[in-house]
Amino acid sequence: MSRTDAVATRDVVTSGGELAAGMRAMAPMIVAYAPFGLLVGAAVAASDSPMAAWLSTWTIYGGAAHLAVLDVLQRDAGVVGAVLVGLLINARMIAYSVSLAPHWRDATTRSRVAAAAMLTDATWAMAHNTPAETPRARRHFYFGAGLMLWFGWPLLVSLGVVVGGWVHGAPVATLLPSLTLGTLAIRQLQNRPGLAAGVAATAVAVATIHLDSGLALGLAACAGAGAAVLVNRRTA
Amino acid sequence: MTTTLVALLLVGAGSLAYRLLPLLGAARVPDQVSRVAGWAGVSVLAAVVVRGVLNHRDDSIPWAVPVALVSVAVGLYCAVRGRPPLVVLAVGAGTYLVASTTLAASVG
Repeated sequence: MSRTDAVATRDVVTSGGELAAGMRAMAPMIVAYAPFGLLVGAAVAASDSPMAAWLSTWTIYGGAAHLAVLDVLQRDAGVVGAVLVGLLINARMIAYSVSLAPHWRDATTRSRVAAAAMLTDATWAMAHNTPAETPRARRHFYFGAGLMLWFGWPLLVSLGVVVGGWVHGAPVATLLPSLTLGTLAIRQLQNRPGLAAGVAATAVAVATIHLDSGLALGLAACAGAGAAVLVNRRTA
Repeated sequence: MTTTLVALLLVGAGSLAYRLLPLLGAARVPDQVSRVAGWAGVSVLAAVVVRGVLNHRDDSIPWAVPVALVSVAVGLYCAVRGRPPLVVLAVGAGTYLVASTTLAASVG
């Protein structure tokens, strides 16, 4: 048995404790997201409507989009600009949601609404990475991970409202989200189409570094998916 | 204040719709489309990591981006070797702190 097989077997979610397994898997991510959450909290505190900015933690539910919208509003760029920026950055959620759809076909509408509310980078990557015995087990794992972040992320943002400023003085803290998401992404690059997607997206991300984040991520998604489809066709 | 409220409401509603509509229509999403969307998701994660590193700013040291690049690469090497996320974070952040302290001392 190879090392990868061993890791995969160890990580298979069993039907007993899927919810707890999801919570355990997400716990380290909360630590890793702490500096980012504090940064968003600092931006919420600086907003001209802190309560609305804080409440939108649950609806926008994406630190990058939340931060960008507040930044655009702070610079008086207007509603249209702020909305476009936020929606463009969060457009990646469509890809996440579409890719999870097959596992939720036989779930109740209420479950699907709850799953959608908890969907973000970390929950998607974990659900995508973790093999499960049944679709039901996969969904329970997802809810465990999702609930942990659903409560953890707003808690970090709330903390950031009070003490978020210190993160600006610790540049290493701003690297932690890259390390966290990189850890989740790495596991999906271990097959040829996934690797092709990662390489193409990396190249596009470097080439578009001066572009707006939402547009650059959209281009990277298209390039990565296109490269993966091509490689998949060749290897099939 | 109204501007902020309207913008946040619209982005929040749009973001919820992005997440909700494909899951509500899950029965109509073909497996092939879902697979391609998965690759698009992986691509986005990779791009977010790359942008995070290349946009890294640290006024206290020269070559902040190369230092960040090396630190994240060392951390992610641990991830490839199957180390848990907290170890990856500790190694990546530790590498950055050692490298930046060394650089700051040599320049100063």
